[in-house]
Amino acid sequence: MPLLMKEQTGRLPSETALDVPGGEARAFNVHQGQLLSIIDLAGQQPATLFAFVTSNHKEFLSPHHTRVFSNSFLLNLGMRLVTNRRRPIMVLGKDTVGTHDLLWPALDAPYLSSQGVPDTDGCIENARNALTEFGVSLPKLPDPVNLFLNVELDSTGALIPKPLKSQAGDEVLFRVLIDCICVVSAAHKDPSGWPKALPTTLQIRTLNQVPL
Amino acid sequence: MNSQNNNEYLVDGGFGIGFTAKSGQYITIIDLKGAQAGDFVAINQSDPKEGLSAVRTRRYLRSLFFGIGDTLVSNRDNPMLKVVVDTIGVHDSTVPACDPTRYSVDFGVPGHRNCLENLHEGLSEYQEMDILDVPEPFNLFQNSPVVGDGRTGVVNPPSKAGDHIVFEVLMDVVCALSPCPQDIIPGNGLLPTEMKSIVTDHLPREQ
Repeated sequence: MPLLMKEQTGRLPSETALDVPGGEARAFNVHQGQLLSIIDLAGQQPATLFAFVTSNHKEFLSPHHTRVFSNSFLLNLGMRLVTNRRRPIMVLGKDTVGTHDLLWPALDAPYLSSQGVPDTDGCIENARNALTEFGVSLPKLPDPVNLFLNVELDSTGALIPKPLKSQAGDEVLFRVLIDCICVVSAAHKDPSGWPKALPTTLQIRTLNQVPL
Repeated sequence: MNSQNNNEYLVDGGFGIGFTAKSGQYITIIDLKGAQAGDFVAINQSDPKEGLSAVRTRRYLRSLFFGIGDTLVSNRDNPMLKVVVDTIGVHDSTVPACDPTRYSVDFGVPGHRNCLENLHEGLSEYQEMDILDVPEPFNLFQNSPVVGDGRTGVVNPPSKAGDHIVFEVLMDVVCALSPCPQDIIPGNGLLPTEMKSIVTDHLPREQ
């Protein structure tokens, strides 16, 4: 069955399959109704996600608005991820891990350098480079959704970095609700909270139907 | 509506105001009537692309919340403000400013006053900037506790008339303050009320 259970007009959108090498980022199109699959091939690898509405780059996926929309500091199965204009842009539909982050910043090179990892681009530079390569320049790079990242939140509001729970082959699958340009970065983990390790490859697919 | 008397800035509930402060000065923000959240932002006077960052402050403090002795940092991890007095200890830095869509999409009320435009107007009195570059706010006196299972919700602030927070200024800044116009759901006791900001050269004496 193609895309959503509603009458289809026109041709099915094209599907995408690509790998994001560790320490790099990739930008790609996702269409309304498609599924976005992100697989942590090696395990323990955070996937930093940004998404921009194709028809208006000033509207983008916002972890802050997503938290308020669901009154939740954590990203849970079935939650709608929303934009800075409070429209649902995707839904977390399948999740083999269950631990993600909506609170931690993306890293940049100056921060990595200050934490003892010099001359290394972070997600912010990688995402900007990926978007440039994709041929779009955006007015603002928002804060990210950090898939697979494990930051424990206690009742006093303390944030405690914890080992990632994702293992090789773990996957999140989103149902996408607005045509968007997504950027996924196979990020360096923040050296202030996690042991230094070389980032590893993430596998990205956009699909017109759930794989059997 | 709003008034300025020397370095005292009075702002009506639901409206916004901008002001500047120099490194070494102090900013006092007072909830004049109580139970009023005030969205607050600051940017670097010499570079509007550098602003107070809730998400980086959260990482720096390893906490959603902040209190006396804590330093709030910029989107370049530079120190901007330090909390030196806080009579209430309940503030938020996780909820985005209410904006036109908060009212038009979530409540079906287009045209409602909102913090994002208030903050943008306040900063723009001193620094021309795109509304997208208004930083994520620190919501003074706003009460967004962590409840069970990582859930939250905005409830009325416990602040009483006269409760205040004082920042030591660590970088020359342009600031904006918006006593939140939310009058539909809990957050300001359904009645937005006025706040005052005072910029001084010395730590104000406790009244």
